[in-house]
Amino acid sequence: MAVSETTGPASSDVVIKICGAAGDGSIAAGQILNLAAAGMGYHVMNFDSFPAEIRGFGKSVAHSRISVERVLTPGTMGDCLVALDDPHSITELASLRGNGIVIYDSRPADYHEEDQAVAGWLQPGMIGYGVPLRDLSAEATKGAKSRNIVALGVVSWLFGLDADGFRWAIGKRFGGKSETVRETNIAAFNLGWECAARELDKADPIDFGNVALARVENVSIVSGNEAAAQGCIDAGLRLYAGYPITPATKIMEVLGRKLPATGGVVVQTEDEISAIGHVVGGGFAGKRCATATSGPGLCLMVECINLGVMAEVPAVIIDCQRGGPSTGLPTKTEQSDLNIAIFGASGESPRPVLAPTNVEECYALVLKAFEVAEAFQTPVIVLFDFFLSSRMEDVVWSREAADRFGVYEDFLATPTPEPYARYAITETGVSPRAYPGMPELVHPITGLEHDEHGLPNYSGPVHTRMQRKRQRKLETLLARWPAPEVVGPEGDLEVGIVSWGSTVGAAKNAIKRLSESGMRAGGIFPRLMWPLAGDALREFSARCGMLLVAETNSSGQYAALVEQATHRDVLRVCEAAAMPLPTAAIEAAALKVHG
Amino acid sequence: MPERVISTHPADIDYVRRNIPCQWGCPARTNIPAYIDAICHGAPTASYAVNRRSNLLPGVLGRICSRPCEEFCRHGDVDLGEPVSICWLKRAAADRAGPDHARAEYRLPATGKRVAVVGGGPSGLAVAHSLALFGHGVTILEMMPRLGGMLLYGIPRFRLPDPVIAQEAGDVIAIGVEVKTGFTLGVDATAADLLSQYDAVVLAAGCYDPYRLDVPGEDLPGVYSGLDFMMRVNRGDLPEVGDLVIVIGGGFTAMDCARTTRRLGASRVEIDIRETEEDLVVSREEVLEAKREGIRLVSLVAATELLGDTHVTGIRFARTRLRTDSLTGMKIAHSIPDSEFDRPVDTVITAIGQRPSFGPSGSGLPRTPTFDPETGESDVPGLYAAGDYRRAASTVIQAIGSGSEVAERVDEFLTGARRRRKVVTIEPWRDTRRERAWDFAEKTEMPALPVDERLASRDVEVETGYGDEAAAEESRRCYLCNLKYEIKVSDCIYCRWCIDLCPRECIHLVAELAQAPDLRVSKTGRWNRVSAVVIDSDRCIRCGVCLRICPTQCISVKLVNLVDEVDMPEGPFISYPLGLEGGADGR
Amino acid sequence: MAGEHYVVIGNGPAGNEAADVLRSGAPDARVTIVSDEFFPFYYRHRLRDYIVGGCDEADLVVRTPDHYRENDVRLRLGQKVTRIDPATETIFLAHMEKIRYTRLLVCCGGTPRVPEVHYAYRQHLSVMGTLRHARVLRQKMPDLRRVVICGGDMISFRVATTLATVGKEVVFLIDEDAFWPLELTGEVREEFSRALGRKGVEVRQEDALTGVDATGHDRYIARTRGGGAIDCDLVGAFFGFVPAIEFLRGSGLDIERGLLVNERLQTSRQGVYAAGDCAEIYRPDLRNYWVSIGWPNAQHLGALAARNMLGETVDAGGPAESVFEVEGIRVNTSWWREF
Repeated sequence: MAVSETTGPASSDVVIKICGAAGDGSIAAGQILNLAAAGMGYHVMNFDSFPAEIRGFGKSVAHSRISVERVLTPGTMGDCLVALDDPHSITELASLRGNGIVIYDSRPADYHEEDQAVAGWLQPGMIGYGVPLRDLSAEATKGAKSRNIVALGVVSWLFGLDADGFRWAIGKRFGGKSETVRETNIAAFNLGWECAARELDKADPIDFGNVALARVENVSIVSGNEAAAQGCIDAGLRLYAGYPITPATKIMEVLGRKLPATGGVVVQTEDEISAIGHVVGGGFAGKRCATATSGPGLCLMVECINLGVMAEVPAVIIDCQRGGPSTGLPTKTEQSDLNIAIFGASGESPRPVLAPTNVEECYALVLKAFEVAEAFQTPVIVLFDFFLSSRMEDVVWSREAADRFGVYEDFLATPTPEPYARYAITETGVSPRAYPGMPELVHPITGLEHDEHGLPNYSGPVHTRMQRKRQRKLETLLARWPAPEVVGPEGDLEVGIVSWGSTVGAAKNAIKRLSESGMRAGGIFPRLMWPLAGDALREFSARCGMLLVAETNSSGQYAALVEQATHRDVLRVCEAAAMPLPTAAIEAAALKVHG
Repeated sequence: MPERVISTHPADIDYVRRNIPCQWGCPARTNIPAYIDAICHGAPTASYAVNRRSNLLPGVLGRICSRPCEEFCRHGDVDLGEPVSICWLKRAAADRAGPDHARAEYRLPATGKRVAVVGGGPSGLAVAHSLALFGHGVTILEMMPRLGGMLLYGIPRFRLPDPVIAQEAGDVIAIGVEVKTGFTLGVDATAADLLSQYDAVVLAAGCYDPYRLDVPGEDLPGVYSGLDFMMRVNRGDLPEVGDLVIVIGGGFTAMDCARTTRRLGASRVEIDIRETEEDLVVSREEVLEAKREGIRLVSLVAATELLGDTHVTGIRFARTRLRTDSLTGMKIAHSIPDSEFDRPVDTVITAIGQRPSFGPSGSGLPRTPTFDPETGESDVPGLYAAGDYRRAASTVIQAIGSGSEVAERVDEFLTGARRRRKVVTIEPWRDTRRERAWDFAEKTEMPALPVDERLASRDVEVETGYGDEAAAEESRRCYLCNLKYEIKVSDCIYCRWCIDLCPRECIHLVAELAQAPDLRVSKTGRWNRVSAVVIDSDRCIRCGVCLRICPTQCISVKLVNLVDEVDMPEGPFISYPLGLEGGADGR
Repeated sequence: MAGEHYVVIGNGPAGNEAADVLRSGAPDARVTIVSDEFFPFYYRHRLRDYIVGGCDEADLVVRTPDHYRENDVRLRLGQKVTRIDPATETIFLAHMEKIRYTRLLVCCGGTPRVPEVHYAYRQHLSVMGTLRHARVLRQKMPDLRRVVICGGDMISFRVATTLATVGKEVVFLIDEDAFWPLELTGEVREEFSRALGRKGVEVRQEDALTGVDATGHDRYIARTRGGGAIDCDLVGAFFGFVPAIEFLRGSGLDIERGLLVNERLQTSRQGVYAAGDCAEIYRPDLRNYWVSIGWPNAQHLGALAARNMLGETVDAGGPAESVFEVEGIRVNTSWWREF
């Protein structure tokens, strides 16, 4: 992997949106773009949006941010809009910068009706490049609809993103298909590139200089879900049981392809209750098991998770949050399952809840979740959201890097018989665990309250002792888990921002911008949502003139916990607007109150 | 459909009219796609031969034709670009054709009949050529010392060089046509005299009597009539031309006169017309060349008087305004009252058209014969008229077309049978190698001499002809509208790929084909009503994308040609378009 | 009336004045202005200062896009009309959009004229018609030493003197076709030559351009009728303006130099009107066809056309602004002669 010598391209960051109707190939083109950019050593963050209808004529937008430095958010406004479908692209113009670029088809089959042509809506300052996408597509692929690939050729020429990188990416993307498919798609790319070179007058300043920062052959551009699946595999998952639900289905799909090769089993169950039953059952048998679902599925799983808590059985549940309640907004993002993840149960049912903030953490925290679940003998819920699940980033991950969240193997104690007490009370709360089949370590396991040997016991003192034991496990975890990430200058802060999950990227951007404008701003970002890092929150809060909590739910679920812990009112920047919280919203809120 | 079918059915003729619009637009029915295809395949001699079957003088017409075909060319349709340069391609073929092209493709046996053709201009040559092919003895009786008529005497050398005329006229008479020059109708013999000496007489004496403005001062010295002016120049008898020249009229002769006066030293030359530049019949290229040579075009003016005493010194004009005639839809220029103004001038040339005249005691017949303007037949048996003589000043290509047709009628008169006719040949063909990219090629301009080189001489040809690369490029632009793409409905699986890819949206799902003469189709979008997928040939540009994408290969190509069929003694002979049967066919 | 769509092609003084009248006269109708320039309505006469850096682009703007939003006029900038079809009352835009109109006003103005005799070397000639041309000139300005100006229309005088003022060497060729479209006497030509001379411009009388050869990047030799071979960095062609109506050929509208209209600024087709530098109207008092020149004329005719489009019957009437002052010399421009 050679690093090219370069004086550095003029541009370092661009957001490209490819907009079409379902079937136009906008998402596929976005994937090739990401692969090409990452293959050239750029960082990529991508967040597509799909029509809510699974089939139909809805709008599909592939949104990619390509940058020299790693970025935290995919960017709200686009620098370039590739319009594969005019009427849909017109609605997307609102998210294009005032000096943005539109690439459109200059020779559609027939004239557009009035106001249905995207080029008719360009505002002064915008730049429109018309290219005969349809004609070039017909010439190249003679049947397949490849306007999306032709458009990539135009993008490559226009922005100085090396054409060879794209050709490599196309080859890789269609690697499983026939030679003809690869060739014709590369032909389509070339036609788009040549046409642009021949006919377009470049009038915009975006230019990456046709250099590759590096040649990365084994680049991984993955979504949060794909990262989660890999985390499961690297953790030694033996059983995945699940029921398909948007946006978690991808995890099962990937595991379905990859897990059997490792000796693991994937089972699609008849519903979520059965799924969690499989997982808890398999966990009892001593194997690492997991399931993934979304809000409505988690609701169904609650009782069985409760069993896992009471019986101290490890399980990993990944919840890919989406708009709720009920069926809600299946293809839109939200962070509104925190409450059910932490409190969703009958009785006192403490369980750890983790929330990654980017795609690498999706891998790392899922990997850690298995360790934590096993070490502390409890179900662990990992909260993703639609944004994290489907957004793609170029990642470098490793098991070693995941260990920054702590190592917990020392909690795995070998039990000794005489006689064996499965739920022995200990200082840490963690009891030595025997697995079914271990000689002389037979023990009962039940959802009923029980004594140290596992025998049902309903007396008050036993119940109290057991409750405390189960609670103590979490306190031990909290003490061992690294403190939440804190950013910003030392000492007093004018504004402190608390955030979690995928909103952390926007929060960090906001802090950077506020700092640049002269404000003393900082933030605290936990990955362990429960047990609550109360001390850390109080310590941070004490430094802050104003405390602001940013999350994408409307009531401020984490905000309520922060208020409880810090005994102060916080400013909620909480919006459930079916989209990730933009940096600008957080920044504006801070300025409004403070400035 | 295994082999070639020959048809005279009106529906097939009508198909040609609609689908090969260039050929139908040509008064001589030249098979344009066939000859352009020949150029595309690097066969200029074959191309020349194809031309010659209908258009007897390709080198001449390739320079001066009014090109009515180009107005109909499908490539010139809205949003498809510019028409193919059909005329310039014809010249490209003529420039390169070898001397071994057939001068007579067929020859019917000698009939022993003799025909006199009065006039050796384009229509006379066309009549003589056809009649000779029919086996008759033909004698051309020409007034001037050389053959060519208007070509030689009315058109400037810088547009049409002498050797081209000589070569092509020579090819005509080389097949055995007798020529007598110095013959003036009505002086050396009358029509009645000729009718007694020959079995038939065709008057193709052209049209030399100029229309007059009919304004005061028209006969002043310094005022010339256009055709007369050109003839004098071409004869070498140079008229006197001052410095300020105004040419009245907007046709080819007016352009020719204006450009000639520039070469005779006039420094300010103007062409004044009653209508606007949009309404001119001459091609835009022609007007542009005139302007390049420094000639100004003044519109919306009508001359009301030519001023001067012993010599013309000025013109009085009225301004005109255009009105659309409600009956004909044509635009007419009406003079605006009280709009007169004067312009100074040294020389005036009036070039507003010509009409035929008999000359003194022309016919020698009891009654002046009347000629049917469409057919050329007269009320006197055996007497015919062709070309400008019959129909007032028209174009050279019309003259040639009319000459061929009249010859067929004369032949029928002489033999009692109609022995040549137009037929449509239809045969299965292959997909072409045409690439879609060729459809977007821009029209190639004709290279021409720089202006200062042109004006130095009257004789140097201004247009220099396409080079090899240019001719090949331009010939590729032709869609080859003599092809027909058809879908075999029984093999079609309605995958609709052809419909998705067609750049012209000319493939339709139809519910039924109406049994109407215009073959209307009723399109449908409802699957349960579809009975066929049909290509609308009127709109089709023969790009071939549908054929190449069809997964069941149910789209096929037919070649449709409008050709002559001649009744030879051994059976019907068809002059097959390309003459490349089994030959250089790299398709 | 509701449902009506008034479309104006051209975003200059005529088009804007017309749009104002149409908007106030038909509050419920849709009004659209289509312009092929991406820049808002601007003062063309300030371009000669702009090219020498005397003002910036912001100073050129007459109306910003906000104005149109506030008045509910749809302003389409940077969108070119490729043809119109009066039979179906539709205009067609280059980016493949079609728009139906109820009434159409064509006020697309003029474009710099390059006489056909100069076609052979027209790629070496610089013109100044729109901001796009002016931007090119402005960019080249610092590197220009010597400029040849030929043609001699009204704009050329101002440009020549401005260039001389900022220290450029200017060679001005005047022949009998100067001042097109006016035909001025020899004495007036003399006066202009002297006025130019006083401002430091070298004037060559009775001389005309006959050729331009490129000798390098932005270096030329300009050859003249009088035998001159002038080494220069720019050859400016100022041969006047002709109506920019090429896109209307073949549409069925009567065209001469400009779009022919009657006294009410209607073209030969129902529903289509024209005003400003692109329209040509017969003037009985001049005994000639007339194309307006100048900003005030364009405004006046634009408003007039709009009133006719709204259903009034107003004649164009007598000549409007007809006297120009150029470098202290008064010129009567009330007629436009053929060239």
